[in-house]
Amino acid sequence: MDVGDARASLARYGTLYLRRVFTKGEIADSKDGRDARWLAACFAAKEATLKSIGATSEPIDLRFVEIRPDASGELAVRLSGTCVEIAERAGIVRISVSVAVTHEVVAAIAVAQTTDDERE
Amino acid sequence: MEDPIRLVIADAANLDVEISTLSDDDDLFEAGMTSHASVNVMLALESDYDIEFPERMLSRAVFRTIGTLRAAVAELCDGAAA
Repeated sequence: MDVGDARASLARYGTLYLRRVFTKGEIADSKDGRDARWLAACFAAKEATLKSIGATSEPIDLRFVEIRPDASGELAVRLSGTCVEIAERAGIVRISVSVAVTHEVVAAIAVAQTTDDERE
Repeated sequence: MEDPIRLVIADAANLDVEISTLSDDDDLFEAGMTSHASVNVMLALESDYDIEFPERMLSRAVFRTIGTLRAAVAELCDGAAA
């Protein structure tokens, strides 16, 4: 997605955009919304994660997918709410997410592993 | 008189086509609305109508058409008035 889309939403809806889409931790990571590139990357990663767990048609609050760097700097996914139930139903035990960021465009890919994958 | 729901969607959904060419049943995602733009539609409707979409309404099905959005806003406004 275009970083400009996140920037425009932030300019227009301000804290409402932040509060309805991102977790408190994600907002903090974006320097309280000043880093639009991070917000766009985070949104793209949330979308990729939802697709990876098969949650494309069910009602989902985007804040149920949290994307934050772990201690090593790698992006980590933390699910909550209905996303946990969806992932458990699908037998998903691990989700890896990667984000590519250029000056104005971000792209994300997420891979969900099931218990079957681990046995292979 | 202009339809206020259509005005909001036209302004926030970043469609590839003029909203006047769409019926209430046409698919907004097929008309170019991205998932991020659907968030803008949600925020615009929440701001204009002083409502909040609950989790059960945060689905592609609700945001798919002008008609489904109109029904959702009507339900939420009725709930607020009750």
